[in-house]
Amino acid sequence: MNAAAVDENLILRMADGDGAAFRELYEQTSSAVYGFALSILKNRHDAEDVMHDAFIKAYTAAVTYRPMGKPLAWILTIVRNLCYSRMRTGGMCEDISEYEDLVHGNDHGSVLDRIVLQEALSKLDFEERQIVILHSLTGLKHREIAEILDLPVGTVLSKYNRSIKKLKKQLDENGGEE
Amino acid sequence: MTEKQIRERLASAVENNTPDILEGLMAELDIKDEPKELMRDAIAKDSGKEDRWVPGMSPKKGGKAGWVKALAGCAAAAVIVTAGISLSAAGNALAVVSLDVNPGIEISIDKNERVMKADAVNEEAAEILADMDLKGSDIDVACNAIVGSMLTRGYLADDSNSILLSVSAEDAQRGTEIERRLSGDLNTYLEDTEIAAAILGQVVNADETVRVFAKKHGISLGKAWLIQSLLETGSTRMTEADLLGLSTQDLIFLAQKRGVSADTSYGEAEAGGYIGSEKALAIALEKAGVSRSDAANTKYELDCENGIVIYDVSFTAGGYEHDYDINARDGSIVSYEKEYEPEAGASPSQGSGVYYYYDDDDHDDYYEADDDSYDSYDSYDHDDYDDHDDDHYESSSDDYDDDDGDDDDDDDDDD
Repeated sequence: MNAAAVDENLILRMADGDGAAFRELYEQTSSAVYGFALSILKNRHDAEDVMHDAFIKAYTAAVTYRPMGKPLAWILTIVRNLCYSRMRTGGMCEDISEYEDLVHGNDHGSVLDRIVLQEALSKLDFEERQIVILHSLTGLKHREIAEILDLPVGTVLSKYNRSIKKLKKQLDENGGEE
Repeated sequence: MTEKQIRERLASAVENNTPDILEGLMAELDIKDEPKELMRDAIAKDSGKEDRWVPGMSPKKGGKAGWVKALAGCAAAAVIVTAGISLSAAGNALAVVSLDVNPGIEISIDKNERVMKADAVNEEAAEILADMDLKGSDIDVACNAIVGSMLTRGYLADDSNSILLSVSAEDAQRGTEIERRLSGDLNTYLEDTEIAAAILGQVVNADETVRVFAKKHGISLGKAWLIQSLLETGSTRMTEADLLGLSTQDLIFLAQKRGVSADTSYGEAEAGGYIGSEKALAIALEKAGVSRSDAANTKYELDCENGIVIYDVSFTAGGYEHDYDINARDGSIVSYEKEYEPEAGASPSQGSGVYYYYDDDDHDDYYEADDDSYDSYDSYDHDDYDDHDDDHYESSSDDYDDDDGDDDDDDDDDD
């Protein structure tokens, strides 16, 4: 699903209390919202909390949304602010085992998928994680990601390339499939 | 593994592990799949008496979602009602957080920063709290909910953009932490709205004097503290009675411009319906018939006299010192003086028109303001002189980096 193609009208309809619009928005963006939170917080429980709060906020703040053709960026900015707020308050329970159990726990999907995610969460730095996850999950362009993360486009591009190299190297060393 | 494979596997891993919380959210928000009637209509019908949902809290039975959605046209009744509702005694509270817009609310929180009780300081606040059950909720959530409601009800608007957030705690360090966090969160919240909001955050040392003052005048601890701080800024004009009669908006504006040391300050209260010092100067110059280039020693000070917030603008030109008091809201000239200053360069005989020698025994030569004659200044912009840094988030990755230490491999080759 290409979350970047979210219809702006969904937010405008939500502002009028349209529940169907809320459902549609959730279905189109939930993975991007959760993945982005996970990339910042590196903890699935915190990410789920943020995901919850972000959708609540998106719904309740929909009336304040100014149509600018960037509905996904708006939602992801909410996610980012909530994550930062959570990090500032120190209420996080960051623990490497929290994302390791993505691999070893009773999760869905292929083991290899989860290994790739684990490597991305554990081996990439703060900004690299966000860039790679946003690029993989949202279909947003580097320029749009740069705007959301408040980074120069050049930085986003070089960090993205560096991250992919790092991941390739790591996965190859670990015997990941070619 | 190729780049594309990595992206696909990452996407697949996240998609397969994204928790499904939709139904819970819909239940919490009390929304159904079919489009709801416009909240504006609902509000119009119901006068806002329905139960209201507060973010992060379990919905009340039969409650309706969406106070934030209600852009009800409740005009801001900017009248401070000193209802004298109880001032929170510290009791076993960790801290008392006050939120003042014009509604004033005091929230006592426990050691887990959960709301023990929320008291309305005036009638407007009582209306807001009547719709909420904040007890037990997280203070962050409570603040967001209250400010959201103030926004919805029109108390926070373009011409009243300021919030005073005050924290009084035995443990000053903890108080400071709470104040900074809540101010930052509110700023983040308000950034998503169309209001260019200003937030003044302060840590209050609520000693007996402040408590008594607040209780006596039916205002929050935070407002009492701010008034006392303003009285210490060295103005010879503003009185306690003047300040007690001002709105929270005006008090914050004065505090920002008179350099009251706030713990946190976001945005500019000046954006909340004031003419701005540039326009005040332009009005004074026009009245004096002096061009901008001929004016020297230009000074501004924001002050308050007789319950009116004024720009005190002074400059010298053609041998005279001009001193104008301009109403900060509507730009009317409250008073002005023109005094011969030999060192300013010219003799009185060279001056044109009427001038006044400044004599201490006769102050009745002030001109009455002629409001209608200054409408032509609307084209002046409201540039601020002291740009506050609104960026409260440090985006530096270093702050939040993991500790893996292998970040840079110095390999800059691109694929």
